[in-house]
Amino acid sequence: MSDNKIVQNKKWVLRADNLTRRYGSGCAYCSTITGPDHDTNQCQICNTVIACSGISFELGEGETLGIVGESGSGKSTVMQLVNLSVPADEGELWYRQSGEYDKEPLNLLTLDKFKRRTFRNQQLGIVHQRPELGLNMNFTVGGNVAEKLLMAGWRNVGNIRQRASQLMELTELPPTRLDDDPHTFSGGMLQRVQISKALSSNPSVLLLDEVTTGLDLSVQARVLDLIKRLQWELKIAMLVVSHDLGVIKQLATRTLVLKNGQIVEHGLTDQILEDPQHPYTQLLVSSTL
Amino acid sequence: MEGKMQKTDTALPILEVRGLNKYFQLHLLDGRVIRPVIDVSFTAKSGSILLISGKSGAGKTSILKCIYRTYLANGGEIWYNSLSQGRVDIASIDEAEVLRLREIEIGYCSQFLKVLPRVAALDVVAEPLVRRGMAFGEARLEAGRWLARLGLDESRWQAFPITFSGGEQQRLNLARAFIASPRLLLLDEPTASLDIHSKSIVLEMINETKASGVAIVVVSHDTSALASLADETYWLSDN
Repeated sequence: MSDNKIVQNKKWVLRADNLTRRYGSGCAYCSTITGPDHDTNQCQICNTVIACSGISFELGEGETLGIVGESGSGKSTVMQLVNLSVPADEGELWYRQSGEYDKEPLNLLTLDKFKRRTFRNQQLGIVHQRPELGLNMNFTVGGNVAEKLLMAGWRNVGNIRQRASQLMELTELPPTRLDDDPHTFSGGMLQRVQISKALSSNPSVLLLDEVTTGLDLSVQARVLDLIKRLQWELKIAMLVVSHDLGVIKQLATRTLVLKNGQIVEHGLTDQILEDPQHPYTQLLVSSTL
Repeated sequence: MEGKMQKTDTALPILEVRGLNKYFQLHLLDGRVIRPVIDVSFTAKSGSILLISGKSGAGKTSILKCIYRTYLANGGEIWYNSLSQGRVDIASIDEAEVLRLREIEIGYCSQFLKVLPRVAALDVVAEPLVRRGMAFGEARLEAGRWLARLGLDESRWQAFPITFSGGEQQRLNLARAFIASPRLLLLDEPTASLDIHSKSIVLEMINETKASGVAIVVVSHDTSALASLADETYWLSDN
């Protein structure tokens, strides 16, 4: 279970091979004195932080893959790498259009800055824990959706407004509030606005980074219900990062468990929850309320 | 059921469990090891019922969960004759393949209902069909037929299952397992929380499902109800 090379699904849309991200210069000893066995991801010799190391996974068509782990385990770094918002120090990130499994996949990490941005705007959607990271709070709600559509190549104002209204309805927000200031929205509503924005360009992959953290329980439940409904209706591939096993249980069919920047266990979500193998996973499962 | 069980029939089994072992190593309890399943072997054929019985804690549910891959086997093989993938060892195939088998070929009805608490009962039952591509409306009609047959009042169909009694939840769970028309059906104590009337309906459904060619592995301590339906019965010895 501890092997990080995970070959799972022939119909994958996204595949990560050995993704590694370091903060610091690194030294010859980094890889041997950090990681779950050493209970730290910081090299004691050169102080480099190995945010994540050797991360490999495949995300199948229409599948939801969960990534779980405690704070500092590297979950959000993996999300940032997949979102192409930070560069990887090692590894590859492959993408294939849904249904085009015979074609040569595209290594996203070799794209230049312009192509990365275009790819991110057209094929990826991300929802952050904190709405201010995903939204421009100086724009209206509709303006936020329009921003993503404009960057994805949309130019017709009428079409953009129509798309924004459709998305508001899809995410159970009143379309009459399209021109309202995001500051007038509640936390749960702002997460819906983020989801609208993320879905606006019909992305191939939706990235959800701690989307329900910080929301009160009833709002959390409504956001989860919405995501579940979108899973059904849109059949979009999702990568869900959460420290909350309850969220992972509701959304993901397969799960990776991260500790100190490395995958310590992977499996079907029900197996991870009912028959965890690694001591750390057992600790996580036993710590749920 | 400690030790080997011999296959006596010449028909090709849909499921062949060989030398299955399962243990739990509890790292939080100083690595203590619990061994619920030791060297279990058996086969199940299409259109037959295999009943596994034994005392509570004998490992009945663990066997089913190993077959469904909710538990990882620690030894042995679980050969399944799949329509789509050929003969595969469930104990060792990758997770994506297991998910495909669960979606189309292998059904599992646990003792306890585990569903999203805010989904209407009708939709909970319809879900396996929708997952396979059936339209919502059609799937709901089919779900309604199963719920009606299991005696769940129509006024409850739109209610959330979390508000149901144990018996109602069990009937919902069974409807969800039967509606998917699997080739291999794993049933965990299917009659445990049911009244006499509901129990007789469930037994009738199990028998009909068997007659339609489905292989059924059922674990239960209620041997009086199920033994008459079973083609083979195994008793698990205490570990």
